[in-house]
Amino acid sequence: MNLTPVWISLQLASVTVVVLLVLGTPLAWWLAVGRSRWRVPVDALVALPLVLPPTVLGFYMLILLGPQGPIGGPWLAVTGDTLTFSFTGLVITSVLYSLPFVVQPLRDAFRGVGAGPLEAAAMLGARPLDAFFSVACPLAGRGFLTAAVLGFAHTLGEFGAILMVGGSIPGETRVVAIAIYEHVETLDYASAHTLSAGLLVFSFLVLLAIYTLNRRGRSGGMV
Amino acid sequence: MSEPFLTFELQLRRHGFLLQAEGRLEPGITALFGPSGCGKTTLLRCLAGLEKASEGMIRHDDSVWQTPSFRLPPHRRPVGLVFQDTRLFAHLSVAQNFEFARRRRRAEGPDQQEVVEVLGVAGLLDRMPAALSGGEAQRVALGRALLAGPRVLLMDEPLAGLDHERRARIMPLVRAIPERFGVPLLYVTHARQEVLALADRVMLMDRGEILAHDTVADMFSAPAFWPALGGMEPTVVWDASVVARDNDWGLTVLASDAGRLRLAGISCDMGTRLRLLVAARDVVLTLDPPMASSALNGLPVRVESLEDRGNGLVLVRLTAGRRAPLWAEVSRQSAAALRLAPGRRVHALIRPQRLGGPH
Repeated sequence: MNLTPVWISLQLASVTVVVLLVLGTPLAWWLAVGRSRWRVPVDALVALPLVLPPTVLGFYMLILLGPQGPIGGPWLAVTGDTLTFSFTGLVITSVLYSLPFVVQPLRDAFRGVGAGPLEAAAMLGARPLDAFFSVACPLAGRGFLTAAVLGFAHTLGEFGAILMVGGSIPGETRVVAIAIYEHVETLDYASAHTLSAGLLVFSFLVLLAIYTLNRRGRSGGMV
Repeated sequence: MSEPFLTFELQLRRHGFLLQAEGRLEPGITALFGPSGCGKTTLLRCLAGLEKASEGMIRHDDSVWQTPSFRLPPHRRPVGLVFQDTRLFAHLSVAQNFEFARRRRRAEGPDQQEVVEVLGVAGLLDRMPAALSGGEAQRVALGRALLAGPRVLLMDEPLAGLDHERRARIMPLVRAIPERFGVPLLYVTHARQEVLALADRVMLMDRGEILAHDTVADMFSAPAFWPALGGMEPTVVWDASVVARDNDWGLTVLASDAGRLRLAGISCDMGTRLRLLVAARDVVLTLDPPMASSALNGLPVRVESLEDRGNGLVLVRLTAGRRAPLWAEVSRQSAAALRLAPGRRVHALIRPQRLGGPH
């Protein structure tokens, strides 16, 4: 059995989580402590992938990332590559698709930390950015763990949006979920079983790990 | 050396509450005293720079912390704030909490060894904040604030959540801070006993305003402030210092504005400053100097005025020594028998209570 799809899925999930932690942390912080009137609409926007059919997201991403699209067009002009049907296109799609799974636990963890420890840090001479990294982030540690694990697991399970944006190019965009679908199409149930069971067990273990950690210490983001 | 002063003139409007406070923080310990919700904590937060909506002026020494057009951010003000809920960093051990403050100090600060010793926290250094008792956490929070090298220290009801015994153990530590570490202390409390035991001066606050600012002795001896001080019984507070010991009888001799006083049951070094409280009902007036009495202290006093309190009692205002005020509560019959009237000289037998630790 060809294990390349597993490798691509793991790569996609890892890259997506890293990008999401970098972009999602400031966003989550802003959602947690910000006072802008844009906070509520942005909060709702972040949650959108939770309720949207993946095909809707995939459809719009296809338009945005396509060679004539507002993102895909300039990308093609600069790099000479198309974003659709490429690994990079998958990463962009996955980042949007898994956004709430990373941002929401972080936002709740930062809310749980509250303003108190940051005020205390300021009183000891810590600049705001210093206080953020040396106090708020460590105190929200469990939230980071939850966010990373959920983002990773959810990206692994992605199907609809990826199929629309990435298709199924072996070695490039064929991830586990799509490989399973194609094994079933070609009636290769044995391979479909192996991959499905693997994904099932992996997802269960991930959730078990999070719930165990959250039960042990009651700080940071809850699922 | 003249110590720098913190002067402020602040306004803050919020949800129908108006803070309008003006004052100057003197060396030593100043208690910010008033009922719950009168704005004590808010004023502290304004001084620390944590209330962004505050307006007005704050000056410290020759540096400006706030003007109508400028605001020094909290992390750049050389001020320490000990929060009521300690706010120790839960992810850092006690030693790491200290380290956090020491690495970010804005000016020369005390030696960690000294702070650890004074506060008695050497045995706690490896613990996590969650493993500390309330009193331990407060001592650590105080140490952390000192290690940041503040020039002004603010404390927000640090003893409010502690039982009597722990309070009694921490108060002498707080009392020693201004002298030991050279910082003036503004101490928020709504407990009268803490003011009497700790403070040199009081800022009396109510409904967002500072009503009065004076020494503890003067404020607690003035009838006008008794209601605001929590319905005080007529009382005077005298500050005194140890000038001699009478070893034959185990007595300590104190000098005060009221004259020399003798106290049993205390042992203090010469020069130690003590604070005494004399309640009006612990004062007995006689015409003649006492020959033999179980009251140790008899003082010649002068009657200043009389006030009929109803229910058969008369409150007599007296002066002891050169200028020490004293109140006596006597029955109307006794007042008549003693022929008390302004200007009359009589003798007072008093039973002073000693307050708190050394002052």
